[in-house]
Amino acid sequence: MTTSARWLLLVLLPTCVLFDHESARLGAPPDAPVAVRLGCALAEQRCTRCHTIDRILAARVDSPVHWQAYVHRMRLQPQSGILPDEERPILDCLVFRSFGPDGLASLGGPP
Amino acid sequence: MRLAIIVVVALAVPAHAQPADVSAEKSNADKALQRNFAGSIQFDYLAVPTEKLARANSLDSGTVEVSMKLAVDLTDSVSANVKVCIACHGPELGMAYLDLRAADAFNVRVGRFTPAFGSFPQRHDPANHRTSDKPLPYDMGRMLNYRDWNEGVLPAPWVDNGVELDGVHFFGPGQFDYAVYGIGGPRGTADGNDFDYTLSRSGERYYVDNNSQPSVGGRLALTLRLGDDASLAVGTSAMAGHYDPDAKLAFWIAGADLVVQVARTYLRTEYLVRRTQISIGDDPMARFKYGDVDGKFDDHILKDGFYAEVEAPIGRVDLIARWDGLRRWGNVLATSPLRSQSILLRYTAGVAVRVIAGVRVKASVEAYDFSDLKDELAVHLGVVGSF
Repeated sequence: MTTSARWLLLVLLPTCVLFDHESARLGAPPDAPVAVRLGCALAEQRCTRCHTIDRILAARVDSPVHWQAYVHRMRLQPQSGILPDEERPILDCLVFRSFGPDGLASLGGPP
Repeated sequence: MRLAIIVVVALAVPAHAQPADVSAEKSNADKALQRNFAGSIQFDYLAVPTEKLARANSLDSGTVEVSMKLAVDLTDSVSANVKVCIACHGPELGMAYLDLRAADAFNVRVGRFTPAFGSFPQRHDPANHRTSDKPLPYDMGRMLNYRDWNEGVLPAPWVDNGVELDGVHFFGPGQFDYAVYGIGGPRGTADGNDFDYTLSRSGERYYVDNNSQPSVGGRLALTLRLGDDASLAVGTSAMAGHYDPDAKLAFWIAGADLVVQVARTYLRTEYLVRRTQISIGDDPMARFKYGDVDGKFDDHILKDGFYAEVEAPIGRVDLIARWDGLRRWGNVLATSPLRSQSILLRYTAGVAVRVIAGVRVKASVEAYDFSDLKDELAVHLGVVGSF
């Protein structure tokens, strides 16, 4: 076995204990309404087409309307796959995660 | 270039501020510029176990790719994007453009950007795709024997100055995207036998069109929903122009792509083909490996490539299997180890493990099957972080 192959095994074997399903997901907080949970599941589906969930988790957003502009710009990306009626559920998820129920309320409208 | 980095960082600083009171901030935020700063760093170690010293035919050992991007929504219809990339070739501006959006279906992009071609370039950032390197049609110097092959069909990210009209139209279960653009285009020398990518990032040659004739191109794409957790996306792209300073050597590139998503599992596949006119010169018998056919030298080469890739997430781990290839038809320089028809096939198995939020370890093994060169094995081990 070559040195490179040994190094690769050293990396791969520990990954067997890292198959923690929830850790790589865009989870909604436990107190989130059902609509927000559904929005988070939708965000996972749509956003991973172009980038990892980490991009969302790392985003520095300073207000709910900031998320609003962000999600709208992402929806208009080529082949985003985010239909117009999906923008709001995804937005609700991200705003709730960042700013809680108050942030969501500040947007007005559903859910 | 240093100034560009300073500007990106300085403009990004306010985006990190966190609010104390959401509702009190809302009215101010409505009026404020919306800034998003994002970036990524990838360190990748490429080992070639089948070579004692691989540097002669590859950029092996450790490489770093850095990107820092600032997106600013100036108004509802105007946004600016600036992205600085630092990799093997030093600092470059990967983006510096304005989007002037009159409607969802009509946007004007002006500045320096990656024109809409294919599917992969949208995910070219190392933090956005799961392998350490790019598929062969889009290779930018990470493949083995990259000099002999002159990299891929259209290295990604292809960055150029120009204007692009693009838009998206949503309908029922899907969306339709289009783009048309004029850019400076690829460059080469007057006696060129292919593109010379170094001329596209040469300050000495200036970052301007080398032949006063823009290259033009476009893209059409369709994305369809197939049930709640499945979708299908297809696209086709084309680009054409001249690449030499005298605007005599023509090229065209065409491509087609398909992405199938089922839950969070993706099948991605693309095909690219490029026909490039080459300079025969005054003494082709001395310059080229192959002679004339019926008294005539063919002054074109054809290069095509494909990839098919499956990406399946299992918890923290993304599993990747990729099959890609390149093919080159046509005459070659007398000094080239390639032949009039050369083929490369590559088989890749890889994993990307999310170790902590924002940080992934990428590992992959690649088997290269060259028709004219020694078969090789390559191993990538890297760390990528997004912020």
